[in-house]
Amino acid sequence: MDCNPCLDRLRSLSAHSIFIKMLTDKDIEHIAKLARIKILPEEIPEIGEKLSSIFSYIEKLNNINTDGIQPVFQATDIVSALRDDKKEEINLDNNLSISLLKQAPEIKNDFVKVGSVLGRSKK
Amino acid sequence: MESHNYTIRTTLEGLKAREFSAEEIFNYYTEKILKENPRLNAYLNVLPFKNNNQRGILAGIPAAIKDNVLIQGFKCTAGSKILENYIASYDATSIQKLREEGVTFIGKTNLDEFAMGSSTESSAYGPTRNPADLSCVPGGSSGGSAAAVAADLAVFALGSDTAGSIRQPAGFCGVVGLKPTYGRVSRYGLIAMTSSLDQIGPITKNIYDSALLLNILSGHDKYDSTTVVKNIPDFTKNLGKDLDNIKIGVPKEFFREGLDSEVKESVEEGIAILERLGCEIKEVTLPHSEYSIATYYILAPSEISSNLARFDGIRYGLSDKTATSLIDTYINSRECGFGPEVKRRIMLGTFALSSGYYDAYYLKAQKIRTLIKKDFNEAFKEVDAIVGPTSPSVAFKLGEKSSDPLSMYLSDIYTVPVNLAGLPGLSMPVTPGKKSHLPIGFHIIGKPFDEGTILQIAHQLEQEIKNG
Repeated sequence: MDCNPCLDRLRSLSAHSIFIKMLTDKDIEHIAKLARIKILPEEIPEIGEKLSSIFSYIEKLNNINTDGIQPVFQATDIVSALRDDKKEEINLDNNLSISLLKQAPEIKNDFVKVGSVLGRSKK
Repeated sequence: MESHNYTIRTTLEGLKAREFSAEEIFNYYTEKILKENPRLNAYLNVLPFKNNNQRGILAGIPAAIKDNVLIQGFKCTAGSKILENYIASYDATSIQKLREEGVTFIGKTNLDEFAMGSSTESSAYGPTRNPADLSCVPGGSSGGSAAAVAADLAVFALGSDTAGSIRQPAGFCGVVGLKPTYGRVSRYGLIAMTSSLDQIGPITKNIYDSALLLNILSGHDKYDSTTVVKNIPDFTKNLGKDLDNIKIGVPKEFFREGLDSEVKESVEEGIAILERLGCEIKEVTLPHSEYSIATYYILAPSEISSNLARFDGIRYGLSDKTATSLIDTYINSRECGFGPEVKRRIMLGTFALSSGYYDAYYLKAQKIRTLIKKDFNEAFKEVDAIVGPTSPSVAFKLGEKSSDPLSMYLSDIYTVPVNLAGLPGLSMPVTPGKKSHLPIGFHIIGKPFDEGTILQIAHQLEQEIKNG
């Protein structure tokens, strides 16, 4: 796990209660990095202010004791509808693959071409 | 052709009597859109006429489709720059079903970017305006669809509802919006926002059209394993039935501070009509509903951060061509493609799901969701449906809430609990505000998979209001 100073700082707090989160500039830069979102230094104060106001609103959930309560991940108790484990003929739609591939910014021999994975970044 | 406010029924009558052909009514709407859309911005584009199944029960009915639902061969932007040039490779199941019944698709409607918003102001293609007052928002996120139906720029429209995105704009624009029970309508081909809450539904000019469309849209789909394998009743069947013996719950929490007095007045009038029609009115309590918005703003951003990770400039959508490494392609494409609200929610969710914080945020919120659902279960032991306002206020002004995300979020305070509990909900117009003269939405919430009862109640109320 890569180290995350802002999260480590708060780790000592209870894992089951939400805390008022006043985000520091460093926190915001770190979250943005995890989310693959670029933030300009001049945008940080405004983003921080808006995120912090949402976090302090969310904090009201601490008023509720949720010990022993089961989480619900899907509300109407429906069971995933699975198909029978039977062999099925699949007709591959060649036009669909062509049309999906055509969406990619760059393709080479029916493959999606991407930039260098290991480095050669511009800096 | 003269100006009409065509419903499904009157359009079918016109087609049958050969007053116009399917192509003529389609062109009538297209021309009307070209003329009126510049001031409303309800449509992002119009589509060419294509005769779908001429024997279908909706053959020749022109519909508007929210631009996060895929129609094969046409652009689908989700209101985002990142999908500005994306062309759908397949039909959404709901589109397939409408196509089989002969519906024609006139155009794609504006929405908040990726359906994240309550005013249609976060669209990358400019805000939609409310036909009832152009200085006001139409609500959101299905603001384009609601405005198109309210301005008679379509016979009906499809929207999607994650926190109120069908019902709130329907309320703000004075039309009927139905969010079906989670699992009733397939989400295949709907661009995912919060998968555990998203649901497609109709926006219409009356209750009958809403019921008829639900008949067509419902059903199990092998491409969406959360759709239920259940028989679908004929939802139009209950529409004439009277309301004797129907018990209606009124949650006291929905009438507290924060509710505008003119909204309260019109909704109470609606409740009084239901009582006159034979319903038994009972006060109920939903004690955890006040925690709905906070719960939602953990769950939704978490799912959003995960669902929107696919937009990385690699397989489709906007891609930054100047990047030389893979990571720069991701970051630069997302930087150019996403607007501020989308970035904000991705960051909220990324934080809530980051290592060590899952229990404190996501799991805590899912537990509170259990309590919110339990409140409804308890209430539904005593009543057949729950009613109240759709939104705490009438349509607000453009720009009024766009700089304060939290105040925008709170406009969904009565609709969010319904999504969290997976229930069906409908918004229909009642008496417009006495002060503002703007439309007011009356919200009817049903038991899971009991859309039949809410449509029955809504239909009686609609007829009574119509007959004054």
